[in-house]
Amino acid sequence: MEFTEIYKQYGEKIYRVCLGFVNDSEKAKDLTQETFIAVLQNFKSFRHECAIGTWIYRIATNKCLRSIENEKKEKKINFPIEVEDVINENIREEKLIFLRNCVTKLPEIDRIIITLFMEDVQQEEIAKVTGLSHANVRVKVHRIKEKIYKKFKENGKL
Amino acid sequence: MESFNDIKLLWQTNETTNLPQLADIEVVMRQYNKKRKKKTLLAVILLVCILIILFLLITFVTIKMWTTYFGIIIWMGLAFYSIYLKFRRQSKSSNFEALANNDFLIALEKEENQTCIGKSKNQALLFIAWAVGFSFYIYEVSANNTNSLVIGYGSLVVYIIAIWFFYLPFMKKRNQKNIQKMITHIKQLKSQINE
Repeated sequence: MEFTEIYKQYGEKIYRVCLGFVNDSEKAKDLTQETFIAVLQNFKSFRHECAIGTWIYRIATNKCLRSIENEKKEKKINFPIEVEDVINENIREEKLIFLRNCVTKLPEIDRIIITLFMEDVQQEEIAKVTGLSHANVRVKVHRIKEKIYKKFKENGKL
Repeated sequence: MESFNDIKLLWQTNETTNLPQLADIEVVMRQYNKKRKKKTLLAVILLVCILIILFLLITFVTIKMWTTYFGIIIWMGLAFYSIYLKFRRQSKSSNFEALANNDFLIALEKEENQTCIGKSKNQALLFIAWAVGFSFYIYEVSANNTNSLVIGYGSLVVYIIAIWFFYLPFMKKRNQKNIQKMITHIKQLKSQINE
């Protein structure tokens, strides 16, 4: 697989995983960039011991975990809302910001688990990325889903 | 929204317009490689300079005693080692970035601890080597004069006491303080995994 293809396939997913972790578009951009630089640097030495997706997610999430200065931030990035006049779009944007804030308030490892889950990564693969057992991931995903769903319900965002 | 599936779909509508372009990544990569080459070149230049100084010292300075040569050799070794420390890869963490998160955190904690110990050890080693080299080097100059001998070695003893009992403990404390923040963060993350 060519690097360009990899970037096409995983670029946006990695960006959103990083965004879920830091809730800051600029920092997410930097982390995504750092991830793909690491991928580019180590691509030749990749030994196919795991799926390439797992490998990239591991690099990205480890980069996120290492970004100590980003922890415990509950903000509030004002992403550009391009169609302010369209009410539906505003509601969606509002819900999206609420969702990002919910994710950011989770503990770091939970953030990784749920963002990977929301990127349609299989639970088995999430287990390989985090190093948790499959059963543990299943339990955690269930709990986090419930927690977020409950918050949406409580705040009338459903 | 009726289920978490809708929340999942909502998540996937996150704007990705800020996603870095492939060309930008390649530019950063090229800059990084350029910087690495520059660093290597600088290290080579510094090493050549040291060798030139060594050559000039041996050729143009009259040295009668082996102790002086010995002092110079220790200093040269010290210079080479300092260059090695300065230019070696700053972090090995990229080697274990592809590990699963829990293994990465274990490796990272180990590396941070080693960095802390290594920094303090290197500082002590460099200081000892410098003092030993100096004690050999000044012997030829001061051997024939008691006053020079007392002043030279007396100053060296004062210097050793100041560095050993004040400077090195201070630096050790500072190194530990800087790394402790990172280690606390890692431990907290590890506890989340082990929950």
